[in-house]
Amino acid sequence: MTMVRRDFNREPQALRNFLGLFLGFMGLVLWLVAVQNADYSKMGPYGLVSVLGWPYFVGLAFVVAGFAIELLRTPLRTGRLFVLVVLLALFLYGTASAIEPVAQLTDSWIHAGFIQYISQHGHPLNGYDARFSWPGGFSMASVLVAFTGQANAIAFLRWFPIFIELAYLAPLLVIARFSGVSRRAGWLGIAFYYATDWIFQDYFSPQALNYLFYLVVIATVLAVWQPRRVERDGPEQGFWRERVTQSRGLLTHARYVGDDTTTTWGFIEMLSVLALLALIGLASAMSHQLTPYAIVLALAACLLTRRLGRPELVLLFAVFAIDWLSLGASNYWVGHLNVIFGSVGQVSSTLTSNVTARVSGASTHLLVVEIRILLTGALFFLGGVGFLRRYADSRVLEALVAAPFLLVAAQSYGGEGLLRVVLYALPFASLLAASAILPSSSGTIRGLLPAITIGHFTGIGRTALRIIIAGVLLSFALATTIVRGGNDAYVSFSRGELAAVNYAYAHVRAGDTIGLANYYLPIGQRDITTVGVYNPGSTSSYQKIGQLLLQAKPTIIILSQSEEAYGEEVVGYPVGWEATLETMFVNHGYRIAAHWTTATVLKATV
Amino acid sequence: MTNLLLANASALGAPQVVFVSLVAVVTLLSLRAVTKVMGVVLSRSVSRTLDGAVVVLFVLFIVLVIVRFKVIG
Repeated sequence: MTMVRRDFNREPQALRNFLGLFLGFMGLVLWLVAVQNADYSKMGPYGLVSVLGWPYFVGLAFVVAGFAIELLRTPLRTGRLFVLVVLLALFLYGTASAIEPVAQLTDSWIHAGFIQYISQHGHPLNGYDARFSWPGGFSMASVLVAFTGQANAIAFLRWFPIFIELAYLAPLLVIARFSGVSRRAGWLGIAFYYATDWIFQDYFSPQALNYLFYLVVIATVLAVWQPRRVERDGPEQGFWRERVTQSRGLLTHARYVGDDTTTTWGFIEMLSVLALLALIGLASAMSHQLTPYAIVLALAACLLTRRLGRPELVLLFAVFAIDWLSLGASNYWVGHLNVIFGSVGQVSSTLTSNVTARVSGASTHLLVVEIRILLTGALFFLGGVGFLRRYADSRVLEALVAAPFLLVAAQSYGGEGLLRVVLYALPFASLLAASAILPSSSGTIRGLLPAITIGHFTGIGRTALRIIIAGVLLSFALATTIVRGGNDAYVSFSRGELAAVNYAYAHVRAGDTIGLANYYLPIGQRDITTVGVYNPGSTSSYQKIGQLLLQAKPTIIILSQSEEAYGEEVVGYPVGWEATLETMFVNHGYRIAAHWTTATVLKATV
Repeated sequence: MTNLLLANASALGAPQVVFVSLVAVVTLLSLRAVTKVMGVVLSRSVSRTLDGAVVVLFVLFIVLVIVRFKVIG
């Protein structure tokens, strides 16, 4: 009799114990259903979200709810939180790969073409493309292609985003552990990072690899050095006086030679770490244009906030980056130095090209862009609240958020500088945003706002916190689902479009050119030196595109669904504009050579 | 004149010059880091000289890079 009563009591307890994990499992099942039921061919102007059914959203809500439940459990079960964060990443970074038939983004296909060239010739192609002046990532991928026995890198493209995002998790965990926020805030910060990274620099590219380098360097530095404890003289001072006293350290020699830090690492471990960091610095310098400088700024931020004990690293990373630019990448800048230094100090024009110029296009595209701005603003606002609320021993997170913004003053980076800056600041802004909800209450630097207690971790207070966490995290994740896939109507490709490109490559000879209506096709993955690809770029009218293509006289012209969607969504061409172009080409010396439901190949008749 | 190391200003922009200055900076930075990590006690004058040499060579490296940009850019 007693046994029966005990079992009945245990059932609800056991259910509660596993509720978070159970919700995660249910979320995974619903994700599989959502992926199975999604019909890529029905994708509309809102992109990926237009083909996601209710199972996706319910599943995402389950995972977020499971995370919020597990996050406030005592004791904290990190294994379960890890599983739930991985599931969150799968929802946000794996869904497009699972639903869309081929890899996204023209650039990832072009990168596969660069890698194929290196595999065939054993060296990069000088003077062909700016990206070839930083060939480290492509060379490494070429080695990987050979190592895995692949014929080219195309097999790596499709699932790369989820793969690299999960690779980021390791350094993110270290950063969260050693950044000075509480353990719960650390996990929430990681979840916020995954729920707000809409920037889509995780496609198959050197910048995705270099972002991993960036995170690894910062994670290592934070793990190795802690701030030396500041001894207070005399009684507690007033609010502002205390802050001025603490800030005086910034002007001391000890701060700049790394003496304000402490470490428990032995000298053999330390030398090994320094050697590895130097190696990463070298690899980064020769594989990406921007990230090495972001690392230099981040290291300087760590030095100023007592989290870097070896200032030599700042100079070492700087000389590697500058030296590669000066010597290794001279093909890129000789003759047009203005590309590098033309936008130095032009903050206003950089912001215009980075933000204002992007807020254009059809109403659907505008909505996506506006949600992106709102999402980023919301995260940084929450980060600001976290800055005001948290206690800390070092303001390293705040410095790491601020440091990348100096890049905007130096480079517009082809109108993408601000996006990259936000990306570099994102992990640290996410941890600060988590501190807005779960602020640390210990540290020599006091919070600027009075502490608000919501009955910490007991009864109603815990439930209220769970609801707040789930609400904020779900809002972020839903917004990212919409905006990350918001361009998929033209950056994702159908099998027909890939077949059209393959057909074109199979029917051109060396020296021929393939013409496109714009940039958006899975093209550039082969024969980069022998087959030219011509696209006239965005023009005010689509008829102008037709005229430019007829003047260029390419052997083959490809018209496709993605090209058409880009024209309609971003440039504002009328619906069905490519049909008019097709007629124009047929009337001016081209014939339809092959046709798929999503693409047409036209071939010159003479 | 051609036998002189720096026969004209454009020679400063040669890759070898920038590379040698890079090697010098990296060597001194490595030396400084290793001595600090291993707890080697340097006299005040040696320590100051090392720091000064790092700064001077780093500035020289930057100047050479700028010259290279100016000369061949």
